[in-house]
Amino acid sequence: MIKKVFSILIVLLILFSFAVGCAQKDTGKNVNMSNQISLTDMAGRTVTIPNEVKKVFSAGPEGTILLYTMDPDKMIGWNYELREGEKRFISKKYHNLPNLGGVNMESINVEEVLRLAPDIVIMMTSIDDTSISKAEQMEKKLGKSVFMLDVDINKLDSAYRFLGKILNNEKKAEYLANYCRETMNYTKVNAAGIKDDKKVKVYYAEGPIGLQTEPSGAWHAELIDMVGGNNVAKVTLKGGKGKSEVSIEQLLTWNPDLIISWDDERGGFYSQIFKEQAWKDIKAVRNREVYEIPNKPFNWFDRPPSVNRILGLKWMGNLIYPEIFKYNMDEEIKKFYSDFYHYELSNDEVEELLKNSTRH
Amino acid sequence: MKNCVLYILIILLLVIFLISFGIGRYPISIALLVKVLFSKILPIQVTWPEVVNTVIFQIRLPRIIAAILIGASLSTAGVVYQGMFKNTLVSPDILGVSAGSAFGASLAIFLSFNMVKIQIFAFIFGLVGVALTYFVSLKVKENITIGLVIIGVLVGSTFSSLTSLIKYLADTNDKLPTITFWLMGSLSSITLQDIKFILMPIGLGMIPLYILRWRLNVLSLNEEEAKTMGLDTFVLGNIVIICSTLMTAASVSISGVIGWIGLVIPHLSRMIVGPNYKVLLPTTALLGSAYLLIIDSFVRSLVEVEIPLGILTSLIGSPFFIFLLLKSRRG
Amino acid sequence: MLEVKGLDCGYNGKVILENVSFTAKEGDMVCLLGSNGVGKSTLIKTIVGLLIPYKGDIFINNEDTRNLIWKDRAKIISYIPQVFSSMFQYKVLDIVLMGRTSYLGLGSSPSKEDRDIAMEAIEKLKITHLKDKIYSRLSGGERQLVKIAQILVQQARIIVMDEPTNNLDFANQTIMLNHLKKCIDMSMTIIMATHFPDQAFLYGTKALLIKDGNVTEIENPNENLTETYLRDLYDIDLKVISLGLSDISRKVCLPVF
Repeated sequence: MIKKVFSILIVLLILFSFAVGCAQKDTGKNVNMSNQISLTDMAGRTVTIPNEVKKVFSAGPEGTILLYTMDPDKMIGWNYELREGEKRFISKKYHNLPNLGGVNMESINVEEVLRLAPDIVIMMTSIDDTSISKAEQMEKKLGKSVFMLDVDINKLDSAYRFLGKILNNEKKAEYLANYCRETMNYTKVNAAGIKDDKKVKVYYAEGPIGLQTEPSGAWHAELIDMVGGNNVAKVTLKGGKGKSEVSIEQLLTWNPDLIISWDDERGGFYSQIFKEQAWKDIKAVRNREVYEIPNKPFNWFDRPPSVNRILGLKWMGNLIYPEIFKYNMDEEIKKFYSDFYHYELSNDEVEELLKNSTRH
Repeated sequence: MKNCVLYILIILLLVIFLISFGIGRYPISIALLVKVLFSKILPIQVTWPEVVNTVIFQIRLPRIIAAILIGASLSTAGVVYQGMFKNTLVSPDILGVSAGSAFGASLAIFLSFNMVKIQIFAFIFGLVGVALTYFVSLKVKENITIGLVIIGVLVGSTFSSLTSLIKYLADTNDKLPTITFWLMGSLSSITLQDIKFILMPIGLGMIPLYILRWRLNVLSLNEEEAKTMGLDTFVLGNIVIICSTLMTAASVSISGVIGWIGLVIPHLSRMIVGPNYKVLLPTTALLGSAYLLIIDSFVRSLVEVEIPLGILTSLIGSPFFIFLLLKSRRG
Repeated sequence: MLEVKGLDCGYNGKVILENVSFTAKEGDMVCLLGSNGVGKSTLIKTIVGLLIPYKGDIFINNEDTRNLIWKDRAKIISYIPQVFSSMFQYKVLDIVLMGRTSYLGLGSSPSKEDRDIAMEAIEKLKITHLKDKIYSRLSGGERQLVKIAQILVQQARIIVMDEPTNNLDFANQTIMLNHLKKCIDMSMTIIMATHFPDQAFLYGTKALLIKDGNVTEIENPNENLTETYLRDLYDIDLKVISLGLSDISRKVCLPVF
């Protein structure tokens, strides 16, 4: 008897799932064709985009920052709980947008996203088979188009242009894209002229005791490479590795001219560097060439790797080679916060941002 | 009396199955839910937006089926291993299947493979892990059961180290979090495609164990007694290993590592119906399904963001296990 | 009928006993006597098939047992090891039913008929009150009786036991042995290792004395198992005394101080 009940149950379950699986194939495609356009995204996928996009979900903080700079009113949520530093420079209006998860696309609750009914989903990430298949999976689950943007800093301008097309605001997109392109070009041209023996030796101090770093060639530290700095960390592991451990002895051998560090709020080592006996003979410490990376609203230097780093590029260049990258940083910062973050900085706020991050 | 427990569990699972269709962040009324579900069988006019179909059939259905299959698989694998190894602290991972799968998945993520290949890698390396354990332990002359356990632990920890190595080498921006998340276990990205992928290995594992379940009692006795009572312990042991491995590897390959369920559910089931596999095996399977289904329903409805399932199962699992141990000590 | 011919046995490549030959017929009780570690268990395990003989043959009912599968073997010869229990809390009835393993198809579990057979054995051993108790929580004597019930439902005509009266109190030893006697009366064959020569005197139809890798076969031990044999076997001074009880003569073996 019990056997029969069981087999019936199993058969029912299997039948049910297959019936549903098959039935599903013919749905979801009856959208009015005149209301949408087709666009090839940065992964080479053809994506249909509704003509009018009012709500966008970005499955990750990189894209969310881009979206925030373009048009914050179209956001339906953040990817994590906003921190105090972010809240300071982001209009109150957006503080209460929900945290939908999605640091690296995981932890997204698809039903919650569907409830908020975005017109389209963007996914700004590095493009590879893993991320493409994830986008496709998400597309299938949500029944919404997922448009992929490349997270590469060199492609930020085209990411903006695509976003402009999606949001129907190509004028603004073009303006921001140009800003990125020009900054990149200006940096490249000027950095190319720096001779190897003139390069400033920079160490990027990460972590609670400053003995984690990112080697030259890692994207986390690519700003140093881009502005023509000499990242002292020639750690054997090449490629996009993160937070390599180094020893204090190794650091003494490298003897960097300049150190950039996480701020204390982020769990960094900045305030300790001058107190630490072991560090006192490092050239950068002796010359007091130790700087905090500005972190508000978004980090200027690495994580998340979005447009926030474009301002970081100017700051970094100006900090290491003031005679080459002759920016008026106060003005640049004000302009960037206004153009990108919709925030008019006061002089005091500029000073606060740069407190430990520039030569006074 | 014991069959009574089974009937109750079947009904309970059915009820949870239906209720969990109604649970989620996207609000769907019960009336609408019933209508939508019946529309697949009966000709009912579609009056609801397309998105409701998506929620029910693309998001909830795959997860519900996956929770049922995986819950049943992991707890069944646990309960048969506990008998075979005559040790109630044994879990389905004992022969290195999860560690192997975790390594396979990490490797595939590291190599930027797509989701299908990641699953296939996880599945195959799960099998490889157990095969390694098995063939090495055949070389150990002493007691094969103890050999399996020791070699299993060694193989498991070797694969775990390899996984750590890959995590160390992986890009911190997207690879590492993907690996970490995978290792925590989740049903959030499961599609109907994945269900089809695991249905076959889970069936191949579950059905023989279900058929042979009474003999598992004899297998749980002292090996010499079992043999002289007429049970070929070598053959049955191999069947148990193959079946459990198929089920566990398949589950882990689409859900990541979901801990504790294979340890706690068998204990709980044994407390309810006793050790006789005739009733114990189906009880464990049903209870495992129900348990995972309930937990996953919480995971996907409690907050706006998904909590990784593996975290919750261990968070609930370990104290619950302590409770069970204390309770059975007293009893 | 069990026939052992020219058997060399041992384990891990080591030969423990050499050239063992003996026969046990229906109604025989063969007692294996010898000091600790002399190879009684090795011989027993080889007979039941748990160890593979290095040389020689074992025939049961004129059939070579070498290539028997466990299922077929279990129907003709059964075994009670020295220690047995279960990790799990099986009920006594479940444990007894497991004796039916060799009669059940792959996918089946015990039927009503199997249950009747089990209950019959349980009643025969007068342990009906234990039927629903947890096997692993019983006393040693009770467990031994349950084990015998299990062996009875296995319905093999040959029973091999490794020190069945170990760990049993005086009364339980006697109860045990009386049950075994009944088995012999039903012309089953029992082979058991024991540390008590008295048992060989009382029940044995044959004794096998094991020492230094050699086995000496003694028919009708009550008559032929002399002091000399036993002194030699155990290397201690001892005395065999005949007691004149009402109608039968009984022998006991006592150590001399």
